Amino acid sequence: MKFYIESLHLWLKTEQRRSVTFLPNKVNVITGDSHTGKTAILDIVDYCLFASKHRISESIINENVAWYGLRIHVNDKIYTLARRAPAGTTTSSDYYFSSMGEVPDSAPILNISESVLKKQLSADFGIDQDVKIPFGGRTLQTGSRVSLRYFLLFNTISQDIITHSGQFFDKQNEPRYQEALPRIFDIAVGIDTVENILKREKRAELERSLARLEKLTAKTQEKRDQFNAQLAETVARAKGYGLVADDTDADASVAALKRMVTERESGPDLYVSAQYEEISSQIYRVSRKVRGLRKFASEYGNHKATLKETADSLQPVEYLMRNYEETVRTSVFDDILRNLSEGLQQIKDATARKTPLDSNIAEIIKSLESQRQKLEKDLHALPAEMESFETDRDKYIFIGETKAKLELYGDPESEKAADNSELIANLEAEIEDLAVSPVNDRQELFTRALDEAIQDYISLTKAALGNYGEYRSAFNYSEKKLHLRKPRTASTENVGSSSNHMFLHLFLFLGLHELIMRNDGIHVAPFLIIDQFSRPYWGEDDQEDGEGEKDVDQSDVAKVKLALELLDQFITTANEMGKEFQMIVFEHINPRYWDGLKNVHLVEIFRDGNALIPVSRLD
Amino acid sequence: MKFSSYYNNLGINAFAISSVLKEARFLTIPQIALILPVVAHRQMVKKLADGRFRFVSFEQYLIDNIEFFYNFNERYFASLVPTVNALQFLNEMGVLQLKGGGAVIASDLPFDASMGKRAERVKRASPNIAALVSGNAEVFYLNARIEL
Repeated sequence: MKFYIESLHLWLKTEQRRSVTFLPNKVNVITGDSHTGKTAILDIVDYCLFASKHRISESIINENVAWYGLRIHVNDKIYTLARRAPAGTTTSSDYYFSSMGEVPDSAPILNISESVLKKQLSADFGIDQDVKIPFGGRTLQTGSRVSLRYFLLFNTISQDIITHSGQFFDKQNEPRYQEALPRIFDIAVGIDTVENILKREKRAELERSLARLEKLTAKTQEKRDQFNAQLAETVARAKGYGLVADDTDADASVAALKRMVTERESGPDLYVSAQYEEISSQIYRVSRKVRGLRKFASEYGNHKATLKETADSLQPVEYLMRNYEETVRTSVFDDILRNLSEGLQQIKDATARKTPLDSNIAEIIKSLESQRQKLEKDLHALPAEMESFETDRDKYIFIGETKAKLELYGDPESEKAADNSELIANLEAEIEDLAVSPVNDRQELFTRALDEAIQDYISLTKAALGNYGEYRSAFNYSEKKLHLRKPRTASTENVGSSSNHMFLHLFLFLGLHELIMRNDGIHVAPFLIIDQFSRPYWGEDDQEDGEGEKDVDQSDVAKVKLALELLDQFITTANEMGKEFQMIVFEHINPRYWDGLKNVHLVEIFRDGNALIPVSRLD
Repeated sequence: MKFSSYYNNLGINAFAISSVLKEARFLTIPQIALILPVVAHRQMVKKLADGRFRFVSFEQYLIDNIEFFYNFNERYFASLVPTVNALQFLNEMGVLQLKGGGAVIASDLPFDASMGKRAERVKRASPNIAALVSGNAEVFYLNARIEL
């Protein structure tokens, strides 16, 4: 998927607006002193994207803000979404949304509910009814829907986590997210696709019904043999009457008798054919809707392409002109037409480069298609036409007798299983068609590819890793943690020093995003917010810049530079794949640290009165 | 494509436009052109006429009911001629006045039970239709994929 944050907006209670703008496809650095609100930006992004708890600090920031908002680019669309500031610890359910990315000058007004806005964004994150929790836990149920917030776990490295020795992902102290991570990991990184999961589910289901059918067939075959023996005389008579062909075997003859009896009993032709037509027309209606929706979702692209050619004309006005003879023309006809074309021209100019919302169309299509399948199945079961009997006294008497016998000897189970062989063959063929590679193989391949990617990062930053510079990447899939392995040994080592932990965090996240991009993942947004990766060297950013640096070893300066180089290189790598990636980094280091790095962009320096909420803006 | 199945006629069209315009007070011609395609959709009108329906914003309505919009472009073009004709009719009747790139109601076209059930439903839906079409026309035209 494509995604980047274009800007962050704070509507202050003083009626002013504070905005911070980021660039796509860059390492956006906000640097500055402590207590200026750098970290709050991460919390605000989280809050705007539906957080149920917030961590925005009350003093200075929340107490002065009325609304928080983001302007984001998602898959060629531009949205502005904003959320009313929380009151104390209570988050707000008031949201503002603009599908054209309009940013209001004064405080936004509530215009959308959380559930509807979430529906839209979930669709953009490729989440529909098929993207579900594959296995249950204490808080998450099997089959429940995946929240787009679970995929956001891949987008932040907060200050709590960046030097943690055993924890790589944020929010792992909340049970919901702790359970979510292993459950969505495969889908998020592309080890497994929703399609494969569905295929595997379907295959398991088919195999179960196959086993059931086979067991049933064996049992009923035995019963049927007995039953046929008892009806042997009736069959012989039926053949005499010419009701059953001479050369049919025992099974088929009994089946023919049954057909004869039941068809006699089935309802009038009229009823069946009315139902047949009703279902056919329902299928037609559903198909038409599916076609329309598909067109609705896809054809806007073509329309956009032809827009250029028709730049000077307006289709509605031309349509009116073509249907000239149908219009009435009074004195105001020209006025109306002129107003219409002027108004439409303005709209056309304003919307020419914008992309409309497509929301949950994919989901609606899926449900319509399953409806259609069901209808087609129903239709299949109905005979298009009924055969009719000729009257013949003897035949009726015989049929009566046969019916009585069939009822007498009949066995409901064997009747149901009458044509199992065909079903079994169908099932076997279907199972064969559903070839899916086992997920374990794919996990192993993924781990190997991830280790390879990370190995490249290790060689790039070798100098910063000390004695671990020559170690090998060893991603632990089951724990979702990155370890280092001594070359030519099987065991991983506990890595010391918070500097190394910081690098491991960067390695893992960059590696995951690299693989997600290579797999064309649609669920994880290509951005990363990193809060102060230089913490291991300067601790909290409470020292004055310069002063703190004096005590710092030159080798630590080199490490910070290497970390920045790693981030810079990652953007280049992404671009080489034809992708874009955005990073937002909060730091307190000086611009000279990224001299010569072409992908680093300085957003703002929060220093000397400038802050997320500058002193001058406060009343 | 003709939407003859929508049993539209000049009377109901004129009535629909006037009662929505009355609620909205002022609408531009491009906004007025959106009324009949909405009225032509039976399910949309039914839902908008429901007393329990609460209008929040166009975007909220669109995302929640995107299946109502898949053939909006067709409905829009089919409604163009009827819209232009109904506008002139209302103007001749003195019900509406053209002004400032749009139209306002000059004198009321009251609802009468003899106009029938459909008109009654349109009447009930008209405050919500007014809310739906009176927002930012760019957003509506873009998202309903009306081909300009």
